[in-house]
Amino acid sequence: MTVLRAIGAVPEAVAVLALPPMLLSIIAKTKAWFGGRDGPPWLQPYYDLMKLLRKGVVYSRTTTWVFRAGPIVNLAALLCAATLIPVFSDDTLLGFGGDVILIAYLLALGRMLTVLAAMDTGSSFEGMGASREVTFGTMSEPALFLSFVVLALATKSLSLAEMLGAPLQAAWGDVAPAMLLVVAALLIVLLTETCRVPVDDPATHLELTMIHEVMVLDHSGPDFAYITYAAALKFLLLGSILVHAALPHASWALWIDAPLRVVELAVLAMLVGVIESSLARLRLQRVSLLLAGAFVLSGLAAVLTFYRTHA
Amino acid sequence: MIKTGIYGLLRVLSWLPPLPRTCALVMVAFGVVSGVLGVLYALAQHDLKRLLAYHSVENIGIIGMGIGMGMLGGALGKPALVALGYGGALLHVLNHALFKGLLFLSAGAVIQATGTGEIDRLGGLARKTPVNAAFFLLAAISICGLPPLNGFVGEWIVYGALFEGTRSVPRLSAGVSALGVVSLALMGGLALACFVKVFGVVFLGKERTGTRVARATPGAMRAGMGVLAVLCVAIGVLPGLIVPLTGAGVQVIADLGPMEFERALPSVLAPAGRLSLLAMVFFGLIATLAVVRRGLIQKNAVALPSPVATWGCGYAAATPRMQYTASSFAWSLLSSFRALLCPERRLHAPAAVFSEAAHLESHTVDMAEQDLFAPLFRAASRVSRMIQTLSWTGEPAMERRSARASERLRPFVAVVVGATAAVRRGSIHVYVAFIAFTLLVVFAIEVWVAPGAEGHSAPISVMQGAPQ
Repeated sequence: MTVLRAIGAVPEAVAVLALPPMLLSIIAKTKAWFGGRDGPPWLQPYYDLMKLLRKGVVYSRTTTWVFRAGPIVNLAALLCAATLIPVFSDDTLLGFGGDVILIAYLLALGRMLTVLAAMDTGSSFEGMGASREVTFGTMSEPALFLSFVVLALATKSLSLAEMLGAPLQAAWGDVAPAMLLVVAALLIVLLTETCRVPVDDPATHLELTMIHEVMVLDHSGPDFAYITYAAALKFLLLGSILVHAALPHASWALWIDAPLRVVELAVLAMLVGVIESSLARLRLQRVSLLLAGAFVLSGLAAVLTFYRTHA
Repeated sequence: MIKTGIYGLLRVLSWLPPLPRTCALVMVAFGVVSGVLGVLYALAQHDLKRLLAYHSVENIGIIGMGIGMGMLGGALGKPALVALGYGGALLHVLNHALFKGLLFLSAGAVIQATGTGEIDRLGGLARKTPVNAAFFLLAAISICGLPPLNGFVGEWIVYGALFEGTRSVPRLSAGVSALGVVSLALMGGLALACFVKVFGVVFLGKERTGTRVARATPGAMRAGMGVLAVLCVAIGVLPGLIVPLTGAGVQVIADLGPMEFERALPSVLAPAGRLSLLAMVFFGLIATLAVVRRGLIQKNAVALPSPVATWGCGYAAATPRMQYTASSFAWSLLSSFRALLCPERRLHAPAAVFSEAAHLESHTVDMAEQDLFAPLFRAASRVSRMIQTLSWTGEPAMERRSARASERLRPFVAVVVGATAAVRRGSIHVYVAFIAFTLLVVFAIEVWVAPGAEGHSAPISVMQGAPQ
């Protein structure tokens, strides 16, 4: 980590922070294209955020300080995780050995405070959404960690930057089927954690069927801007893990690497848009089967990798 | 008090020579079973203190996993594994004493304030006892193993031991380590669900009826909790100060050099000081975001004629009874694990247009209590009565088994019956799961019999060395 790299990190961080709403826009445009519509303008998510930041806040008289703390802690946890996840380049700002565990638990911390903020309103709808969110979060966590086990085995490291870097490229040559299974499992985890079809439908208008949207019904103004931005950032971060796991390459110069990663993320967003346009969401009881499926996939990947590494 | 068992275990281990690998694997398996079942039963509880007690079962499981990994390292001669396994376990013992103590004190304050510990009758206490609520939330975040508090540091090291186990030991042990990673992740998620349930229902939302009007927590109680809370935060934010101390404990249990723990931590994970840096970044981000939010809100203040109610999706007459209860909150998770837990649910649903009162009752019987300890103690009491009465039957007549036990399917029977029913139903997911399961079994057999695998490595080398 040289001084030059430290200076280079500033524009990179700015780009990482600016990109997330764009990915949402790509998903929306893809869905609009499938529906034969023009869709909202490309910069609509940015306009929405600016609008929310300029609005006042209304708090229900039932809520306490937990409700106000929820969006702040959630966004802070995700920003903190952003310093540990490689997005454009192959290294991270503050990464260290064992940071994968910290990343997963930071996401969990954000989830906990969001869910508690929902419970704080005393609304039964939000309680229902909270219950679903923790249920699916709990079930996706084993699949995520088992995928981490596979990556750690294949790359002999516990630092995410190394687990997704050059050693992984060698692992793809060695146990490609296992890596494919891990990518599939990570895709399911991504769709679950970011509340996308087939787990949750961000476009639904019925509170009874929502998960993420119903939890944040009572938030408004800057609080809601924080939540919306945090959701987009979560998509970027988990998407980056997925993209790096699917297409690892040796460290190239940043000016080649960064645009390439942006393109890959855009393709991922398009893929999510295609999934949303072509699949119906699952019945709620079926979601646990999908997540169990992700767990089985990563379990098979672990078995395959064990064969190679413990021969 | 429950840590006495752990202390005895560690003391005995320090006297014994390194035990064979099988013992270590059994220990890890015990940890996994205790941890997962403990947190699942905790999720099913309706009483605050019982729920916390079940979480101790879970945390002993985490400690057991750490000790198991330490034993595994001892059996296979991996000093890093020994250091991380025992070190994580010891640190978690300390952490558990801190956050669980805080949780019990806080729960005591709840009961003192309201006169009940029944979760579904409480609500909205954060408004009445804000300080106690803050302490409970802090301890809850810590027990879920979330950063930046002390619970995370302990679990992080145990995770380190388990991840190190997946790659540095032979296949079967590595597989058990991977199982440990998965279970620890599952436990983390379930503990989060459980404490969201408790904190959300007891402290947040609207006050439910049926409790005494809550009074503020007395100052002396707050002071006691404050000390524990400060320690929880201190270990979480400055692990670099506390973690090396566990090295001394590891040295006592296992024959390790004085610097082995300090060496093992950076070689597998990172120096614990790195967590402090991230904690600082995290707190800095929280402060920045809070200041920005405050500025924006003050600039665009909204003048409301009166305080507003929660948006009820168009329904304007919501009462506190309509809030989501703890039982409903936990049900979706419990029903996903029904094959393991067999939760009982008796629903008397309203049927006709003018129906009588509806009724719902849910209860989860503890498998260990019902199927292990109850028969054990019944047998013990029978034996003692046989001795007392000097007869084989143990007259006077034995007490009958409770009716509930015979109604309920035993867990093992339930799994078999459920699996058969699932196969009959022809669900494709179940077939896929069975295929995966079969593959795993084949893999396990393969590992067991393959030449060069750990189970047979010794005899083969003997044979090769033998004269032809």
